[in-house]
Amino acid sequence: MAASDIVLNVVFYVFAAAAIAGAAGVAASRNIVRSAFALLAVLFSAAALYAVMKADFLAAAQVLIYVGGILVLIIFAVMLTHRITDVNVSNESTPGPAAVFAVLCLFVALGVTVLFAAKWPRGPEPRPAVAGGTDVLLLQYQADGKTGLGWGKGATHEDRAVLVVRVPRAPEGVEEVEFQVSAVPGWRGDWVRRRIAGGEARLELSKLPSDDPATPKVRENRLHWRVKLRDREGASRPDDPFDEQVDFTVYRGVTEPAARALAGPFLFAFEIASVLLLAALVGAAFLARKEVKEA
Amino acid sequence: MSPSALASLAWPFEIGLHPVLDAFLSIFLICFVLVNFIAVYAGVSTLVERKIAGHMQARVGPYRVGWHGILQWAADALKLLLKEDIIGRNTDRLLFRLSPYVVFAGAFLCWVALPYGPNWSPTSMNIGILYLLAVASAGVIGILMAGWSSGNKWALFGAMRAAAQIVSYEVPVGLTLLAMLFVFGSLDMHEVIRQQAQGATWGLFPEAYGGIYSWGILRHFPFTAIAFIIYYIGALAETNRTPFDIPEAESELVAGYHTEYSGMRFSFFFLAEYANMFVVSAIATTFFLGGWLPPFPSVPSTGYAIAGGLAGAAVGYLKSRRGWDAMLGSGAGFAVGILVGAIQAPPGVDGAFTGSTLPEFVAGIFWFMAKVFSLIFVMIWLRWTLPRYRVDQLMDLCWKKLTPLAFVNLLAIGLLETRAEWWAALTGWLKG
Repeated sequence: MAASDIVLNVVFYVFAAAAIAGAAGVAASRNIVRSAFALLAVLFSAAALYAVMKADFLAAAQVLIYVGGILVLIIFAVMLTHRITDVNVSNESTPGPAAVFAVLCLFVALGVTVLFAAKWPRGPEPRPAVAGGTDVLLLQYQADGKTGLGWGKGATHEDRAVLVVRVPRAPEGVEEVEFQVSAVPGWRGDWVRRRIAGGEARLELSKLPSDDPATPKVRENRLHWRVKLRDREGASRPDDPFDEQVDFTVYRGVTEPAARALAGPFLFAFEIASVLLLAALVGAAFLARKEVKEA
Repeated sequence: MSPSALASLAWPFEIGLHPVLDAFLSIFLICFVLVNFIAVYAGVSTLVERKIAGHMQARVGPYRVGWHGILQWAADALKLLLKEDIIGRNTDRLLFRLSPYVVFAGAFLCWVALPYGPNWSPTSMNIGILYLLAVASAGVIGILMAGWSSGNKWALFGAMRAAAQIVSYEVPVGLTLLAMLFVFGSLDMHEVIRQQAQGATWGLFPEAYGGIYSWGILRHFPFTAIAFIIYYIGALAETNRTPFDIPEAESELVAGYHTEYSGMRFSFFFLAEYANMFVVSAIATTFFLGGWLPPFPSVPSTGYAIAGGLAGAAVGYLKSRRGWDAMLGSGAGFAVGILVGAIQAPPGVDGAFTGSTLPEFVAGIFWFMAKVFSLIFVMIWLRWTLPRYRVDQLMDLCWKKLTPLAFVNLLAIGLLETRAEWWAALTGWLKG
């Protein structure tokens, strides 16, 4: 296990424990204001768990919306609806044994479903690019530092990137793959040649020295990769399927895919959710207004 | 120190123990350095603030401890450490003890993502500004916690006011930053700064590259300048500084949400306030004032020296109307000009300020800090100049003036950014 994985595991367990402790505090506290404040631990720990899973955008959005917005609202509501100066406002209801049993059953069912039935895709799916009857699969892409909240050596804008390409059915005589990396639009990098070993070719790019004028500055959130197949002599094959230069576009971080998903396939769901919130807002205003009238 | 060594200032440091230990140790080291920097910076800022206040009110300010009172901040810190820690009878003891740390954590979490130098932050993330807005808003919870747990109505009212004010002013602040994100197209703080090294559309004299004309504040003049002013007003309100210090208005609420706090716990609120001032100034610097970029990169060191000498002479003469003072001021200004000119590193071979060499790295940190502390100085200046708003006036300013203005500004900047697209569409439509 790599050192970074151990660190992430430690952080995960710490925040998972904090989330559970916070949730227990919310449920068990006799004081409703304390319950509201215990939510802070739950929501913040959930954000930290997102960050551990390298969903940094989701983590920041979680803190921004739930902690900065909704939790403040809840605390305000709790403070304004009770006699706020009275510390001993308490939550007196205790669940009966039937309720406890029902909740436990549901929890076990959920746990069994999650453990045995749910499919957890690991990493991005290989993106096939087919040209001239030959598949080239982009298998792995890794750019530490830009994908997690603060993990990795990512203080400069250049990262380590690993590209693995699988050529399952290489044409006769093809032994090498050439990569071209372009990070800035309009810039063309050198072609780098790698041998195909076991059907795979691997290219590692380490942190580019930024003062070298020959190296591009990775200023975009994505890298473009181009692939060509070469035979042993390095000659481009007359029937090279990749002379058309298939582009792989790889996103760094999760912000851009999240934005694209929200503004693309999930736009309708997103807007429907905001209509729901609007309806809730109108309803709340209506209820508050009615109360004032009666008084 | 080579450029690659500068790049490896990022954590985790390679201390040489087990990699896991290295990672946790480097987290600890970064936080240790930052917390101590905040403590010293906040202490010195209080002294500077009191001195400025004194001189603005025609008195001398702290004068007893050390030469001209320059050790006053250390004495204050010692006093806070030694003061009795009082917890009232009606407090919720757990939350009362917890809240100073929550407030301070909200401020401190921002510090790990600020762009202090060329391409260098304690931690780099591509969602920089989103993260900063998120964790900055988490401090509100601590304020509410402090106000409620104190068991004191003044503290509670102060906390409610503070929360309402911070949540309200997040709207215009967020809208102006959104407008600037249109311009720069990135959430990454360093990327935002790098975008400001180029792209000037106008200038009084040609800059070989970058410089003040390509900074955010002058990018779409005057709209980005308006955005800067809205942001700065909102930032003043979010840090509860005068003229928006109604959460701790002495004449109305004793001391607001930290009425019941004393000693070390009080000083945490205090540190958080100064830490927040730094954070909002750093965000303003990043988005509007070019971050760690030098203002006039093509001006040579001699230019700085001459400008410094002239400015020093003018200040010296105007201060006392005597030739000798003009001479003295000229000498001092000349010295400062030479220093600034020397720190402002000469441009690289291809003329770009990348901050990758050691002099450029130092220059970047110098300019970032100079801009941030200038903005903090303006905050202090405003505090001792303007009277306090009333609650209703404050909300009126936010919701009826700043927010609509920010919306209009957002629209204007958006239209300017996309002018090529919609102009082509419009002319195409008109031609049929």
